[in-house]
Amino acid sequence: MIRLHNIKKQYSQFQLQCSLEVPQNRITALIGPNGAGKSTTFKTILGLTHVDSGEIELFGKPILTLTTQERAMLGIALSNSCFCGYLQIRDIIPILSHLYPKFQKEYFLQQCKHFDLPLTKKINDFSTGMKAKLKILIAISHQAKLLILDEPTTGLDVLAREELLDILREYMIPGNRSILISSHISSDLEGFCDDLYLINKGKILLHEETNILLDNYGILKVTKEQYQKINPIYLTRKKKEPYGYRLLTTQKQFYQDNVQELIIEKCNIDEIILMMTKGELL
Amino acid sequence: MKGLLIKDWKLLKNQMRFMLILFTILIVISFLDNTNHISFMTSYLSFLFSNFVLSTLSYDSYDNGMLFLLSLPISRKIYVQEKYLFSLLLTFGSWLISLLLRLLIFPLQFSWMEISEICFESLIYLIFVLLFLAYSIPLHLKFGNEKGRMLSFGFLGLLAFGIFTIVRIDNWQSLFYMVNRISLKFVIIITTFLCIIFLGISYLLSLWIIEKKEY
Repeated sequence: MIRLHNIKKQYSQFQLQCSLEVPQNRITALIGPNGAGKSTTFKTILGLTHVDSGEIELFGKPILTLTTQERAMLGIALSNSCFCGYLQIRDIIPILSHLYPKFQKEYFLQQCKHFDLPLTKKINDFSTGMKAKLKILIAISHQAKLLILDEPTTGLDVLAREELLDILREYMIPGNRSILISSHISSDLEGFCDDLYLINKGKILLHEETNILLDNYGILKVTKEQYQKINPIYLTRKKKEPYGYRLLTTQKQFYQDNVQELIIEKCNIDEIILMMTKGELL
Repeated sequence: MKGLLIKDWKLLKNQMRFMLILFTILIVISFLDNTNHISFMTSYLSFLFSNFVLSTLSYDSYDNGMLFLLSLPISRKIYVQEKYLFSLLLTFGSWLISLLLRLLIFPLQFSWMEISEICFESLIYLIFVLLFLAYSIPLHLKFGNEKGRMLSFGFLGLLAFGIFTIVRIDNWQSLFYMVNRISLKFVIIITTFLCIIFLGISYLLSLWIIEKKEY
């Protein structure tokens, strides 16, 4: 569905240099700290910035050669951008109907009602959460084949987040669909994504299946003496701590089986981000 | 493109109350205006609506809106085409309505001669408004709203100063008589032709600007 190959884009103080793929029937996450290059990657995928080199393909075609009909198969929700705030939902319905041949007006209205989104209130007067819901509804209401969602759950409370994630899960049911999503809320991604890319300073540091990441990766807490003796074969990052070192392993089972008296913790996505971005490469 | 036209129309509709107030003021001024040679109504209304086209550019870029708009199933080319089409529709529409209103409000006061004079003057105003848009749209796309608006009004000021200087040097009346001697049809054809050329150049320039722009 999406293929970025050796993309390079030089800004004055930042360089984006990445490759990533989103296959069919997959939910792929792009994670990373603020300023890592997530939104720039999204803009690159959508052809909103020009790259210095590399290839960008959507639906197997270079982005700039996509027809209007092919672009209508994309559902987009960008973190800080939507329809003009002076419009109301009742204004944007005819706009969407004319832009998207497969726009499902009834479904859209039904979901607006479900999420208590007023049809006759200016978008400017919406709360952050209401805006986030509206953006997702716009993205999923025209039977898109691919959703590109940049921080879609920002500003939503836990219940609304879960409801929206359920809607996105429903969206995937017909098959032949994919989602590329970024989020600061790692708990959303852990139970939702099939695989994830970790980006920092414009570079992809890690690409892994979510279940492998959560099942196999782990954090070892070791003293300096333990660190001297430990087999580093499955260690990827180390971070100095007052007690010694915190180590990121890709095979926690190996250390559970082979090293005694070692503190081994399951790790979550936040910890992986922390270790991959702040930790020292081994 | 239809979706974008609807969007701009909806934005315009949201400002309808403001427009109605201005429209009322305009009609009152027209009634008070006994000097028939002033086509204030036509020029003012067309200029007002042409400014609204520039406002839609501001609305589009409000809160990073262009990012979202260009991620919709439209190309940058279609976006520019829609802006020019909307400009033409709005300017012609408002010009025609105001001209008709002016003629309808005072139908009996005018002789055919005066009516043709009013139509001619209105047409010149229309061309000025279109020329204003022709240089303002690329300026807005290139420099954004605040800078673009300042530059386009600055340019308008310079243009007015230039015309004023020419009038002072050449004597306005002699210039007017000179224009009068030229066939009316010829003046209209030449100015319309020049207007089309300028709008064409403006469109190509806008297209080039938006294709190069990064969001």
